[in-house]
Order: sequence, then structure tokens, then C-alpha cells
Amino acid sequence: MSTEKLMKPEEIINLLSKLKDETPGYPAEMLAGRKAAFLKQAVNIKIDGKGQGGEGGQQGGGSSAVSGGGAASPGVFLQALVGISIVAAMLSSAYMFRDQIVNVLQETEVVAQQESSQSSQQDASQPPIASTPFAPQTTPAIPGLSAPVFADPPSEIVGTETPEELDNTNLTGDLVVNETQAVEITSGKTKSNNGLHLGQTPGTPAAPGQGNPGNPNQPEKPAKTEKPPKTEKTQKPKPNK
Amino acid sequence: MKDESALLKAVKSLDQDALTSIFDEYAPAIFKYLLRLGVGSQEADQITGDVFARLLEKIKEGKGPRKNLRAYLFQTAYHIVVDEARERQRITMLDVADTVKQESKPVQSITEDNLLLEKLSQTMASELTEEQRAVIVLRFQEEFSLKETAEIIGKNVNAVKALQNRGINRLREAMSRYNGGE
Repeated sequence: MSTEKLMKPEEIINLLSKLKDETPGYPAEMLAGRKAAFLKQAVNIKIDGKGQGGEGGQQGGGSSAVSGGGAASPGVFLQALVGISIVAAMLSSAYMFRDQIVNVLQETEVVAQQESSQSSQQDASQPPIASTPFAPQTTPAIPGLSAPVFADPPSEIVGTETPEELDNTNLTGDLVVNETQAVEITSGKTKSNNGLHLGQTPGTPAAPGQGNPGNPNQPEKPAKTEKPPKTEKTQKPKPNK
Repeated sequence: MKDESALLKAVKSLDQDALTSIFDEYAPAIFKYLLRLGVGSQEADQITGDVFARLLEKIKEGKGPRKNLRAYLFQTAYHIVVDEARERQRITMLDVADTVKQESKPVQSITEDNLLLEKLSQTMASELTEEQRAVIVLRFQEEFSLKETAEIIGKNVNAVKALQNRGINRLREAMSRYNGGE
């Protein structure tokens, strides 16, 4: 093909514009049907009340439709404005009352410190009887003890300040799994796993005198025999021996 | 005719007169545009109805055109054509060529111009890509600007220029082959 026969772009564009006039038009029947369907759909939308502008035609409806394209933007803007104003009011009030806020915070801090110091002192001086929800009951006098154990802790316990020993002190004589046993259970040192876990009591039926001391159905508690101190009970035999 | 912004306001308020006015003005143009893209007349009628139905749906949602209603409607039509072509894969080059032949005005007198125009429409359908054809039709038959064309087909102006140049060159080559073969 020679380059002389290659048409110029202007000729192609000229032909394209001529071709435009050659395109057939919309058939009248089709156009009428589509138009009827379109206007019917518009009426339905208007009846539903979802069309923008509503009644009033071009005068009334037109003005409300001006912002139709950005209908959501004023609401979002107002929400943002309200949020910003709330934050600003909070910040300004906090700034105005900063002295009072500091005072309140300091007082709260001091009270918390006092409470914590008091509680630590109580923990060190008293056995954990006071924390039980049950009221202390009078227990039969045990020979060798001059006073009930819950009122005044034994002298040997008072001396020990380590919380582990205090927690393991069985002052009422109830069966309690002490820490040494619990460690043995959890560490697998026991010969057979009976299903007990740390803090659980064995599943044996309650012996007389065990369980809830306020339960009237329980058999009467036998006279308490003197037990060796807990500190001795928890001692392990040394492997060297 | 009212100016564009006033017409848009009236359309968004679902004014019957305004809706009738835009349908009378733009429906035939969109129908012709679809035929020029190679869509059959039945399908072009269907797509034209869809274009106006979508316009109402957008107005109902508080969206729709803000400035250029004509470009908006042509853009909607183009998207529908592209979507349907991708879905159904049925607008093959041969079908399009046949459709253009059928839809073309009956040749009243066999002149050189008529033969050239028929050959040009066949070449557009068979030689150009979908995007090239859309750009050529929008630019030189629907007389949209480069910017409007870019908005309608969803590309930037430079891409439209490139598509236009390639399309014109292809048509030149094809038409030259046709002329040389005679």
C-alpha cells in the first residue's frame, strides 16, 4: 500500500460526522413505551415521598433539590460540629476547674494511701479471721489454751510475718490443704492424682466437726485435740536424711 | 430550553414537565449512541430505559448528576454497555458488524459516499477496540469534549487522546486498504 492512498485524519473525521446523520432514529413505538414507563416510575417514587423536593414543582421543589447532591453532608457537618463543641466545653471546664480537680485527685490519692497502709498493718498484726464472712463462734475451751484462738493469735504465729505461714495457719482446726500439699499436687509429686487442685479440699465425706460450723444438721464436733503447730506440719523431710 | 442548572433542579424535584423534557431530548440521542457503539436496536431500547430508570433511582437516593446531565446519561449508558458486554461476552465483532449493517439506513442511491460510510461503520465495528470505538463516537459523532469523554469512559484526558489517535489511525489504514482494494 502506498502512502499516497492513506486517508488524512480530517477525511476520516469528516466521514464520521457524515455517518452520524446516517444513524437511524428511535422508533416511535419504542420511544413512547419507554417514556410512559419512565414517567410512571417517577410518579411512583414521588408518591412514596422519597423524591427530593416533593410537591411544588419547579418553584418549591427546585429550591430544596439544590442541595440534593450533598444531602448527607449537612447532617455530617452538624454532627461533627456538636462533637467538637462538646469536647471544647469539656476541655474549657477542665481548665477552669483545674485547681479543684487537682485537689480532689490529691485527696483521693492520700485516702488510698492511708487505706492501703492501714490494711497492711492489719494484715501483719492480725490473722485472716476478720476477713471470713462468718461471725466468730465460741469454741470449746481447749486445754492448754487460755483464750479462743480467733481472739488472740497464738504467740508462735504472731512472730512469723510471712504471709504464707499466716495463710496456712489452721486456727479453727478445720481440714485445709496447706501450701506444701498443694504444691505437691500441682507439681505431680503425689503418687496418684486424686483430682484435687490448688485450693480444693478433698472430696471425702465431711467428718464430724468439719464443714460449716453453723450447720445444725452436722454431727456435734468432738472435743478438739491439740495439734502440732502448722509450721511443723508443713516441714518436709529433708532428702539428705 | 431552560438552562442546565434549572433543569437539573426540576429533575431532582421529580417535576413531570422536566422529566418529560429530558427524556424527549436525551433518549433518542442515547439510543443513537448505543447503535453507533454497535448495540442492536432491541438492546439499545432496553438500555435506554435502564439509563433513565437508574437516573430516577439515583435521585431517589439523593444522588445523581450535579452539573452535566447529558454527560451523566451517556456515562450511564456506556457503563451499562460495558457491563453487559463483559457479562455476556456476546457482542462479538461479527455480530456488531451485522447489527451496524442492519441498522444502517437503506442505501437510497449507490454512491461512492454511501459505500464509504458503510465501509466506515463496518470498520469501526470490526477494527476498533471497545474503548477506541467509544472515544471515536463520543468525540466525533456525539461531539463531547476531551474532558467530557474522559469522564464518560472513566479515563484521563491523555488516555482519551491516545485512544482517539490510535482509533483514527486504524480507521485510516482500514479505509486506505479498502480504497486500494477497489
